[in-house]
Formats: sequence, structure tokens, C-alpha cells
Amino acid sequence: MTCLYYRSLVDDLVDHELSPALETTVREHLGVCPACREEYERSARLKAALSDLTCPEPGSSYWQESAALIRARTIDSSDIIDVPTDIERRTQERMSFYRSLAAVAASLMLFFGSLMVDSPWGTSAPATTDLLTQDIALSTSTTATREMGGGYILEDERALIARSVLLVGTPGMVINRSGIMTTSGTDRKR
Amino acid sequence: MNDSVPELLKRLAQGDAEAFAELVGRYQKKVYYLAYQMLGNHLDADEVVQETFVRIYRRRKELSDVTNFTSFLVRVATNYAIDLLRKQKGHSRLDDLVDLPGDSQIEISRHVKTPRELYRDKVLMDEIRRALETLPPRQRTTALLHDVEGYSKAEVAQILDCPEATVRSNLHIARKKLKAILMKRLSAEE
Repeated sequence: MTCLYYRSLVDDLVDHELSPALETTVREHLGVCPACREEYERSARLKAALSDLTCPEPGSSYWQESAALIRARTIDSSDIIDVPTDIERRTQERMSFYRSLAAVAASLMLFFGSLMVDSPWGTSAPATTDLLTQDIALSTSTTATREMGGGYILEDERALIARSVLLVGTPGMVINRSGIMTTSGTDRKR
Repeated sequence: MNDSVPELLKRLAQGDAEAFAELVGRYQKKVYYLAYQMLGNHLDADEVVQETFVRIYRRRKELSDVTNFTSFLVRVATNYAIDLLRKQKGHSRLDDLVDLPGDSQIEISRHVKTPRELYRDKVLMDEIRRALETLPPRQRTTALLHDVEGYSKAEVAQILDCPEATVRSNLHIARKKLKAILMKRLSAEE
């Protein structure tokens, strides 16, 4: 064993944390190695000096004044805000999560619901608005395109995409009769 | 009032203000001395005492579940003291004795056995404190809790919320640095 090994055990020896057998081995080495013994003695002196470290007393009146100030800031204060307990914190987090989940579910239901209403697979609702009239017109033209078998995107799919963009798109954006998206007020081609 | 600490904590959790006042009376000195050792001046130690008990009061509802109140209290205090050290918000130690109330000076003088002893102790304590102040907050706190306050490594790990291996490592590095700084003093005391 080298001196490096024994010096790594000096802290444990000072703290009395070595097994009796190992302590005997280390002490035997310290008996024959002045450098390691010096290291051990410095460590022991440091520990003794630290354990003797004291601090000045702040004065007898300080404790009462300090306690009175703590009382004023806690028991007698109306401004004190309690930290929620773990159970309260977990309940709050859970409630917040459920609220977010409900909001997402509601948004998804609205989104897919409106897609179903407007799509050719959905139940046709009475055309009461301009938009539904446009959709019916687009659906009618779909059949012809489908029969012709042309293009990767069918007319009804294009209408579906346009409708989806409209639902999530810029506020004020509308679709005109030719299926071109425009912003309200100006007819700008995309 | 001779209630045990668990009883006091239970009463405090139920809203008994006097139980809190009793806990302050029992533990404020412990918090003050620890904070003084860490920060080296009266003003910062006083701030730690105040803030620690305000934080304890704000968390009073969860105190009935605390099994080791001393560790819990010391943890709150050291966390705040480490924050102060990191912000380098600490006041100058040189101002400290000047800022102490008048009766504190008298109180300090009561500890004096002889002028020679006072001088020797003061020089040694000052050297150790200056050496401690050069250590990073975590190493300084580990050395103080273990070597000055006498907590075991397992308790220090619990207080600082870190593995015991980290405590060992921090303590080893802190002692090595202290020995290097205090080399002359530790060798001269043979």
C-alpha cells in the first residue's frame, strides 16, 4: 500500500469511521511514516479547532426582541400567506389538469363535429347559411370530378381542406363560391 | 409548558399560536448560532432567524407529518443562508461588532477569561472564519454542519438533500482547502 492510500483514509480515521482492523493498519503506517503522521495531526487539529468555533452572544434582550418580531410577522400578521400542503398542491394540480383536458376535448369535439356536418359523409343539414349552400354546390361538382377520375385531390376533399383551414384560419377569412379563400372585405386570391 | 416537540407541532398544525411561540423560544438560538457560523455576522444571522421561522409558520399545516423537526428546521435555515451567500448579500464582518446593541458588548466581555486568552481565541477564530469564508457555500455548509455543529454525515445529507457520498466528497475538499490555508497555524500548534 502507498502513502496515497493511507492519506485517503485520514479523514475517516479522524472521524472514527474506520473498522478496528483497518484503523490498526493505518495507525501502524502512521507510526513509521512521518509525512502521513503529520497529515493526520493537521487533520486532527483542524477538526478540534472547528469544533471549538464559537460565536459572540447577541445579548439577552435580542432573543425577546427577535421572538416579538417573529410573532408580529406571523401570528399577529394578517398578511401571512400559507404555503399549500402537499395534498392541497396535488389536488390543485389535478384539477388544473382535468380542466385543460376538458378544454382540449371540447375543442376537438367542435372541430370534428363541424367537419362531419360539412363533409359528404355527414348528415346534410338544411342549408340555412350561405356557407352551407356553397358546400352543397361543391359536393355536387364532386360527383362529376369523381366520375372523370381526375387528379389526386378530389373536389370534395379540396372543399374539406378549405373548410378546415377556414375553421382554424385567420379570423375573418371566408370561402367564396368558386372555393377560393378570401379575407372579408377584399377578394384576394391565394 | 413542557410539551414534547411532536405535540407542539400537532398543536401548531391545528392553529395553536402559542405552540409556535414555544417552538421559537426553544429553537431560535440554534438557528442563530448556525446562521452566524455560516454568514459570520449578526445582521445576516438575524435575518436568517426571522425568515426561517416565518417560513416554518407558513408551512405549519404540514408540520404534523415531520418526523425530525430539528433537521427540517436546520434545512430551512441553511437553504436560506446558502441563498444569502450565493447572492453575496452578506454584510461585512468588520461592521458587525459596531452594529451590535450595547448590552451585546457586555455579553461578549462575560466570555473573556483573561485578555491573553481572549486575544488568542479571537485570532484563531478569525483565521478559521476567514478560511471558511473562502469556501463555496455548499462546502462551507457541509464543514460547519459536520465539524462545528456535530451532525453525522447521514444527517448532513438529509439536511442538504443530497447523497451521503456528496457530503463525504464536499467535506474532504473543504478540509483539504482549510488545511492548505491554515497550514502555518495547524503546524505551529504542535
